[in-house]
Amino acid sequence: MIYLELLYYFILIGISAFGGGYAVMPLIQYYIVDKTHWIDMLQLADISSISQMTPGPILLNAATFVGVKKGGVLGGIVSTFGSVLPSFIFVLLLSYLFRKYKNIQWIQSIMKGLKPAIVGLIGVATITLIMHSLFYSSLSEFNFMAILSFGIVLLLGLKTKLSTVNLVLIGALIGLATYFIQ
Amino acid sequence: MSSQNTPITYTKLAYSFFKTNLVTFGGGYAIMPIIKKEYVEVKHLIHEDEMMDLLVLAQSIPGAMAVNTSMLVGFHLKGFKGAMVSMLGAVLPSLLVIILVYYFYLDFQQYPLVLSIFNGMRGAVSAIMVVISYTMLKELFKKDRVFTLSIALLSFISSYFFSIPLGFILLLAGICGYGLYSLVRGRV
Repeated sequence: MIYLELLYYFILIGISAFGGGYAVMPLIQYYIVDKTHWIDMLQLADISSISQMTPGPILLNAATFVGVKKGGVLGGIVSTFGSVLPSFIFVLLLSYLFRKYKNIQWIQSIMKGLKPAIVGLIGVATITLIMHSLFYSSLSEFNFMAILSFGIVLLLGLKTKLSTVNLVLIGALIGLATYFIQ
Repeated sequence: MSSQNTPITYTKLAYSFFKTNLVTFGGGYAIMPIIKKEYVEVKHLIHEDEMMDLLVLAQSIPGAMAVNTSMLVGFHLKGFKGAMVSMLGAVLPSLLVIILVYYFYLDFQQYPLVLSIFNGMRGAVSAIMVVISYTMLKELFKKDRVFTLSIALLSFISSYFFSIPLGFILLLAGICGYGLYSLVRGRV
């Protein structure tokens, strides 16, 4: 049943989503793009663009989006709650432990190991995303417009302090401009 | 640390997090200071030190930091039910907006103009991911270089070249962190 599957995969993503924000990209890619094929890499890119311009974190936005796509509004609700269920349980558990022992050093140690791993995994998602959004089926067929916006936004992202929301909007403007020039 | 008798109703708690999560774009790090201000400085319901503890906890829990902070504050003030209503309040804005956006996305995607805009944004998101990877990598260079860089490199290689399950990679990395910082050094 699709609702149970949605619940299952978004609980798995919720449990592993240490670090929040873009750290969930490799997880969504792994479970939702590669394993279940519910969305493709381009749709994942679209979800993260949309996420920058709508309320709520990428994790929730992606859960709702994929849920609605696979199971309508009810699917969206199920996936969204699946994605926060692990955090909810962790909140209860850690609040209790913290009250009792006043010490969460062990979990900070675990986080110290997880953070660099997440950077490595984000690297994997980044390469996959570049391959899918800048090129079509092979490296010789590239999407000129996407490459143009990639180059400009990369430069701005590294050299200026523009927020990610603004960077995505610049990408949208470049897309718009190339549409009218063509 | 907490009492169930804090002078705030469940409705107000849920509404406060609904509002914050609705108007704040840009995720966790943008939302946390707003919640802190509201509950420490405006409502005077949580002491500054306690709030700092909650924020550290929020970052140590998997999932979205904005939602984690909302649930932790809810639990702190009103126990289990408080965490529950805060979660509902925090999740609802995203749920409602994305359900609407999804149907727009479906309808509008067939227009070449919209497709161009999404193409531009796809390039932008790819670039943002590169910038984020670069920034995070630079952060890793600051402390315990050998440990952090080997974990980052090993997880990259095992995922990209050997498709080792992510859960397994994260589990091992967590154990390494616990081993080095809690067992060997005894401090973070």
